[in-house]
Amino acid sequence: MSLHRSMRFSRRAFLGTAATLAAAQVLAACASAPATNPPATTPATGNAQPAAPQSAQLQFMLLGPSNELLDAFNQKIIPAFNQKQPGVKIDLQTSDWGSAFQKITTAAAAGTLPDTLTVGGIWTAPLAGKGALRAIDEYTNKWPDKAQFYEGVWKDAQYKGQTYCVPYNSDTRTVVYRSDFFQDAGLDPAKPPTTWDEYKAAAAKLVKKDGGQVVREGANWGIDTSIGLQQAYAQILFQAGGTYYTPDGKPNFSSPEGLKALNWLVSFFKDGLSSVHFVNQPNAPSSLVAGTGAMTYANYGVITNAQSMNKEVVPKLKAALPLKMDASSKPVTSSWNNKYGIGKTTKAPDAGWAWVAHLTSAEWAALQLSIIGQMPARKDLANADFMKGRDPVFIEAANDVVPQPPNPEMLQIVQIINKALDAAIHLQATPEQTLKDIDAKVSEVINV
Amino acid sequence: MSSVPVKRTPGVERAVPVSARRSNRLQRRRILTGYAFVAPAVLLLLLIHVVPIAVAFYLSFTRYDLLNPPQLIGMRNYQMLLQDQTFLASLGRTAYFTLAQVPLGTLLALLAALLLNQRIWGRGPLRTMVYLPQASSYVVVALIWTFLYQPINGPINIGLKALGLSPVYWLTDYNLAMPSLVVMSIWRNLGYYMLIYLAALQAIPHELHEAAAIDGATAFGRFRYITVPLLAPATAFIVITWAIGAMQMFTQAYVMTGGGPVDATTTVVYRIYQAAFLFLQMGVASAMSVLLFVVVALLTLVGRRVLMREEGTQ
Repeated sequence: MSLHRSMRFSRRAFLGTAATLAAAQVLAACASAPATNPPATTPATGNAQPAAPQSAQLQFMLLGPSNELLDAFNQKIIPAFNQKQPGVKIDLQTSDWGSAFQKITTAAAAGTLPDTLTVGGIWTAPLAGKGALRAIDEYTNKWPDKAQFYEGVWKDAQYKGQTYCVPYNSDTRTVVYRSDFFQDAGLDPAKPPTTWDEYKAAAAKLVKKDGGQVVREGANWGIDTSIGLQQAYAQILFQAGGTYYTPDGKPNFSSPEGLKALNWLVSFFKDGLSSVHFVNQPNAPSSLVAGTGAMTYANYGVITNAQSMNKEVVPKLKAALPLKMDASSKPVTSSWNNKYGIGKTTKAPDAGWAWVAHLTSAEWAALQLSIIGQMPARKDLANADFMKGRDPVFIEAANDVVPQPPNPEMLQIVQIINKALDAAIHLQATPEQTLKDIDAKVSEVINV
Repeated sequence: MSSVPVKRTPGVERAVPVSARRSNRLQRRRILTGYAFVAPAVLLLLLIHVVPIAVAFYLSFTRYDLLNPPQLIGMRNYQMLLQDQTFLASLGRTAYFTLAQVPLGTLLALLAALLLNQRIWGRGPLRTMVYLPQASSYVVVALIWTFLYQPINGPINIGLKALGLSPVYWLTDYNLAMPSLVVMSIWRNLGYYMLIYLAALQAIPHELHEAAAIDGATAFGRFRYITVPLLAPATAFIVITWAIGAMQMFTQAYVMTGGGPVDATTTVVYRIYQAAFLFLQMGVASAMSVLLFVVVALLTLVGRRVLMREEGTQ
């Protein structure tokens, strides 16, 4: 046999063997697509606050913690829990917020979901709807602390009538403004706007232009590279009395209320009171802190942003209660609350509940909130020590929260809304067309 | 050749001497040993390249949200995508980004290499400065340029204001956002491709230029008829690799613009990211990935043909 033929034979055999192995891998990968997560096999005992010692190892995924928060968990929160539940070991894992949702869904697919985890603002329905979270009504219905939570904030943790997590912070949005800009514009900082008309009139006085270009927005709408615009619109939609869906579940953005809200929002850009060119960037001063905006809808994070980016601005930042559409309406706002939940596949749900209840108890929620600079989800923490010096308006606004309606496709829906609103404020689409587009696209996503 | 017993097998016209058979076995063993040495690396390549491509190809024919088993739906994902204006628009934007960046970037890399191939003062530090952005991650570069491009407090607009000009909304103007990303990308990649051109320039024999100069060729003539043709393989390589990278643009859009304003910077890979990781539409994302793969593969094949043709004419 010639050398060439022997080489060809050997190469063919080699490549054939390698291809067979690769094909086997492909078949294995395709065949190993996960079945729906099996339900936890541990029978639920329904203890609201399990007092009896339990024995378990709990994985807990904490999202986006600072070093200070990690220290608090390792040195105070976990040891305190271990005193109550010495048999339960907490295995603390961390992740950044940016990739957290992907990690959780991938873990759910692989059957390696943590026993307990942080659940982000609008994640309840997507994760619960896809079977990644365990319903915890059996525990919360007997939990005395439940009555301490703001109603609107608590509803954010529910999907299809069941509770899936417990909120630990209230990321409630309200009007925030620069008192120094108010004074410069001849407005009384002690009398912030309360209605839509007052807000727009104030914005008209606060806006600053240079050669026709807006250099300071009268009203900033939280435009960012994520869904800030959608978050702003959600509030004014609710203020106008609008809803995401009709009672039979169809998208309802193009209702008269939705159109009223969007017309009002777009009018700021048409009239030159707001600018599409001021986009909030992560890890950068927000618009009020940088001085490129005079008023906005924001959470307490604007204060912590000022504390780290420009301390001189802190005393100039004031909060006002959420707006109402007109004098006869009610003030309404929305909130994006982070929560703690229990993974569907946990083998220790009782221990998981004990941990979640511990984390969201008054004492330990207060510690976490004092470090992360956010507002409490519990009414009994409204006057806690860590709240001293904080503008109480940020917590009073929690009484006016209307939660965003949960939907398993929420992450896609908010992207659709944000993208469509972007076109509207760029004046590339009329408000009517924008809302019809949103209704059509959301209908496709939710199959109605 | 020594006389050895010849074994005759019926039907075999040419008998193979025993020593020759032994020699062939030894050769086969050597070849197999060679393949055995490279097998782990080849298997790894197959596993991390071929297997994911094959799985993605399979998933492109399914509806799959990671949490429930994939359901085969045939060509529906492809049919939907080929009629989806959003996806087709992202293809167009990707093509725009590639066509705007690659020719201009290649020309600038050549000019930089020509300049820095001369014996000029500070040539070494200048080469380092041009190459330095390549040493930073794309995310870091994107964050820096986001700051540079800021409308009010960004250094570029502060400089424009000092010259009495109006600020430019680099990342928020619908018509300027993508060109701004092109500029940033060229700045970041220039050093690498300049380096390739530098190496190619230094490989051109000096004697060719000397001979041409003696024959009366001008500097431009030498550049046109000696340098450019001999740089053709390097140019083809740069164009192909730069284009392949450009067609997969994601970091700039993700960090700097979020795909906006109004989808002005939403490329195909950004759409894939949204479909896969925000919307959990693995089937759709896989279909988009396969389509992108086909486009990039075609581009590579065409580029290789051009390259081989250029090398042939050399």
